[in-house]
Amino acid sequence: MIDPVIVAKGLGKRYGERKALRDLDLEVAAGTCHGILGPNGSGKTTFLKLVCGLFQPSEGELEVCGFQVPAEGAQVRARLGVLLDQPLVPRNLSLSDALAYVADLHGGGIPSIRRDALLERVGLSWRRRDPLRTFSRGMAQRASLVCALLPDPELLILDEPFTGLDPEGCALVESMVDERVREGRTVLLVTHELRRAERLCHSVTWLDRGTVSRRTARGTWSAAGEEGAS
Amino acid sequence: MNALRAFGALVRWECVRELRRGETVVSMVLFALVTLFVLSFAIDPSTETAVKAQPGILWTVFLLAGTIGIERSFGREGEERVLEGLLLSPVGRTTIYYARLASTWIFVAAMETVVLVAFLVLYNVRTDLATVAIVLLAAWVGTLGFVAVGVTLAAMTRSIRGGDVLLRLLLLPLLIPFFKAVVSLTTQALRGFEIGSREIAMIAAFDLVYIAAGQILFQLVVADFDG
Repeated sequence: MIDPVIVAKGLGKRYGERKALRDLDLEVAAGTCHGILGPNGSGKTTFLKLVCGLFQPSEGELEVCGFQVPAEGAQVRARLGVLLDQPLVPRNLSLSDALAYVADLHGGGIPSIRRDALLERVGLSWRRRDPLRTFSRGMAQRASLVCALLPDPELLILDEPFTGLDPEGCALVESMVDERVREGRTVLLVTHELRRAERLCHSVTWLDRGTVSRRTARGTWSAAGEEGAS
Repeated sequence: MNALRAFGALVRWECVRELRRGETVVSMVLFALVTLFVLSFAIDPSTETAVKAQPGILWTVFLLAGTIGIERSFGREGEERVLEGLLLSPVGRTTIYYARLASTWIFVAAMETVVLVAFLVLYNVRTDLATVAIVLLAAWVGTLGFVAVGVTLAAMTRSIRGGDVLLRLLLLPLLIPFFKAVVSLTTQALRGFEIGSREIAMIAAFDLVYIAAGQILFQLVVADFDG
């Protein structure tokens, strides 16, 4: 494996006595799309929040983009783009202002041509002056995707990115994930949609009750996935 | 990322958001004005008792109205996700804390400025501009510590059921030493006495201790952020 972007060794997270994640060993190679799959409560969100630096590990080591988490959290976060279930920007701002806000959080200096290109790509140029609170669920998801991609992150983290999107929107997300990978960027995808994961992911880690239940690579995991999903 | 630049950007965006909606400052000012107005009927402003109570009335209104602004620093609709977005950005936790402190301070200080003018008119306080400036300066400086501890408590209680009540229950008792000092200083200013160095020292100490404690506590509050 070349240049792992995420390296977890014996990673664990406890909430009081309950272990939400335990003994997780994982490496995600640069320039690939890696899927995290598993049933509800399996530890997917906990793992994502550990990678993002929102949670602190209770045990083990975690390295993201070559930096230790949480000790070098700011360096890690400068290299992340995160798409969660809702926009992470103030909803009373217009889309245009929201993008300027995200650019400021990343130190400014993001050329407006990049913002315009991304807006054009997701088909939201015509809504740029409208407040985010007036957006439908699908539009808000597209806007969130633009916010996540704006700083051109090394690692793009997508948590259930297809939720609320129409078929056209889903196809758009898929093509953007493919593009990121072709550009040599890494994508970490959490989804329940097995077929989409099969199409997009080079490798998949299946979690169950806070631990890795199986690992599979592209072309070999479909049967295992159906088994895991059943 | 340059912390000072990030701080400036965050404060600017908070002010932009407030200018767009105006809900925090307007809510605080309206609440304060109504309270002052009602109290002016409860206590006849022309009596000696009312004159003695004026500094206490003014600061009670400042604290109660200011608590609305503090509560909204993390309690507005969708603010959870905004805070999550900030914590996912390269901006440091300390910078986020100081930026939120500064923007909340600006809103509370703006409220205090408007309310002080209304107070002077409603309570028929005859004084000179220098005295008004001293009272306003004391309010602005004192508000720094008040907001520092308040913002941290607002972050702590943001996701708790009944968090708004809990915020007040935790915050107001913590402000008693500060309250005594600022009321005493305001009394001295309004009565034309020399301003006591003890009160100034107490307010400064309060600011320093609560800003430092707030910064440390904020780091702990957001260490494991679960929305």
